[in-house]
Amino acid sequence: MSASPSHHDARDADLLADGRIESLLARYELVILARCIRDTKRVHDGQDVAQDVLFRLYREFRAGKRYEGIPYRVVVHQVTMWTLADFFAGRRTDVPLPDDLELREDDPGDRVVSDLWLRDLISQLPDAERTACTLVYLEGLGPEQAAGRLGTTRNNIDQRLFHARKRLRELMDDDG
Amino acid sequence: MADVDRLFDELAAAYVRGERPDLPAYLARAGDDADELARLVDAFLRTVPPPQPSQDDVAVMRARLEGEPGLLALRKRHGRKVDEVVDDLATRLDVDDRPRLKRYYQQLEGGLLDPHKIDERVWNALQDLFATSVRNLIRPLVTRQGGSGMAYYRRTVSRDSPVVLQAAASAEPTIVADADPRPAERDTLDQLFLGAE
Repeated sequence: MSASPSHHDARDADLLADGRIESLLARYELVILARCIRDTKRVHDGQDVAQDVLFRLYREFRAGKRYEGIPYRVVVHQVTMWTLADFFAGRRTDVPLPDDLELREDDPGDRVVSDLWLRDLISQLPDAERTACTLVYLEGLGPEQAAGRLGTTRNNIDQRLFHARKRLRELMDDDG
Repeated sequence: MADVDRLFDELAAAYVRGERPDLPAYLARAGDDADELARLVDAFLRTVPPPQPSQDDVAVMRARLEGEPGLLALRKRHGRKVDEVVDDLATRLDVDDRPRLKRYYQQLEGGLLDPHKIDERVWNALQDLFATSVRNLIRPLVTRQGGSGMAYYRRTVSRDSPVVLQAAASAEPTIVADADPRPAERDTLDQLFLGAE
């Protein structure tokens, strides 16, 4: 989890260049699902629309469409937003995207996707909070495990994680 | 209702470990705070690089893109026979009518049941059984003709029908089982797979 965003983008690009579309889709499936559920506010609708997003991405890449210079995660985000827009407009979402849609990396709506990373948020926290957040949110330790690693209590870990969640909530508010 | 922050921490840690957390199950546990948890998770997932998917995840995705139901692909990948899975499910769900449970499982695995009507206990049992969330794997993403799997379902499903009779027939004809006639009164087993209505 210490690799830079550009490293991950490069790995995505390599997967696509190798034609490993299934690996890319599997990697981003939960990201897509979370956004679809968040926006539709219904789990079932979100699940159905997420499947349509995966289908559309598959068709885009299967047809050989490439977005030179634009990170794959931005493409995922944009196709997700286009599909959600179709859903809310009552248009079909289970058909391929129109050919004339253009994706731009500098879309203001993609700011978060493009350049905001949790580790940057965490790096701004005081030492104790940063350590706890790194263990849980970047290394995948459960809060109990993090407490054991740091020789403290679960409650203390919860308190240290509070500020990272607060920053995420601010991000939520910024993003609507 | 579980605390949103604790649910979020649990899900986030599982995600960066490369697991496949069952987001709908977490949201169900959040109760009235599901919307807040959904927003928090969405913000988190946009700010951490997605972990590399497991070999199981990739294989199942490949199968779904080839028109095969994901649960079927996962079971085959785990080398488990249907009867083994059904025996395990019968224990976990405390079901005595094993033949009928088998029919329901085969319908579910074949993509013939509406996944939205499956009881949480079934999803939980399958997650324990396969060590991963299978809730979103049921339906193929693409038909074998290259069309949208979801379009196929939407075209086929009658809103009044509890069973998607033909939805995945072209995807996996070898496992298509006869659907039970709609029971006048649904018993506990029916409700596990068809919903309570």
